[in-house]
Amino acid sequence: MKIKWNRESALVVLMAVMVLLAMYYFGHKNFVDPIKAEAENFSSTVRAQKSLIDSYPPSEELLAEYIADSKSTEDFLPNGDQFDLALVRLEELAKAADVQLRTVTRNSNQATVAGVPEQFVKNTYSVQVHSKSPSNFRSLIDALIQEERVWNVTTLSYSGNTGSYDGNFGLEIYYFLGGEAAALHPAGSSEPTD
Amino acid sequence: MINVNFFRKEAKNILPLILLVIFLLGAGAIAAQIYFSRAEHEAALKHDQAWLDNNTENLELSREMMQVDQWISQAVDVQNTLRKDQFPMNRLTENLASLIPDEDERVVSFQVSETSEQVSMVLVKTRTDEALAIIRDLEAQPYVDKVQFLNAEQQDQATQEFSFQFIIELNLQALAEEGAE
Repeated sequence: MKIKWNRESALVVLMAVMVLLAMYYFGHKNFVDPIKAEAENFSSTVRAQKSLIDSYPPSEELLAEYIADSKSTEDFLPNGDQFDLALVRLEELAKAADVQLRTVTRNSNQATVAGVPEQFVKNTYSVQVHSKSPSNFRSLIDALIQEERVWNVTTLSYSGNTGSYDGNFGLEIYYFLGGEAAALHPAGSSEPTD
Repeated sequence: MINVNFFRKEAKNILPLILLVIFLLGAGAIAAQIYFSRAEHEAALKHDQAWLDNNTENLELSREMMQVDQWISQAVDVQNTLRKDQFPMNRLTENLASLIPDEDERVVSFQVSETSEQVSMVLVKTRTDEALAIIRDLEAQPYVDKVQFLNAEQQDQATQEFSFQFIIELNLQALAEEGAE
């Protein structure tokens, strides 16, 4: 028995090494890397979901609490324009300020508001009023501005003579278009159905 | 003398055999390494998948809670922004009215608009010296940039009363800053 090296055997060794390297490279590329990428992707998803569960421990009671909280924001940013309620309030305040409402006209609907997320929108209305004194208009506007819901009075004009003034003011009211929290999860607000 | 030994064997070259064995071992090692590392990733994938399957309901709940929570904090932020950007019509009109004595008697027309940043006003039954005092008072306000005089018309010769029309140019930033204080 002997070991005899020659040029051919050296070439064969070189080729065998190259074949092994190629096997390693293509084996990883075709069989390991795709599943590795998928697994990493998945594990980062799982990590994100775990941190979600950590920060919002799942519980029906807590969800119901959150939904109840979200109801309190509806006092100042209702879901949908709810102008019927706003109009009732406007009339109450006008009465208190001794101002007669003549007409209320909507000028724009669901207009975007600068500087806030796009699911918050505004309607603009113009309101014609009549009163004995301009100070009544001012107290009405002051009452509107003191409201919890934001009433933005952007224009005001009035004219008239002592004892009788006609006025007109432009109003903006804001609301949320995103959808109702309770609709997200009916179990949070009503009896679950089988 | 010729010495021929017919039974002597030529020593065999075992190099090809050794190389073949090494090659097969190497190939086997690589195949095993690939197999195990693939199996490891597959196991991790399956584990994560099972975790997700088991926690679907919890995740759904948590996601809803997050959604509602985000709505709440967003609504509060938006409310603050809207409140900050609200045009202080009450303050402005009160201030202007307080600068005009006998406002009910004098002001027959008043217009203010946030977009034009102007107030236009018509005063009647006002003497020129009174009008001058009113304009000076208005110009002294930090939120008034300028008072433009448009027109004066004599109403009553006996009392020297005129009607005046003028435009007040507003500085909304100063108005907002005044409100912030």
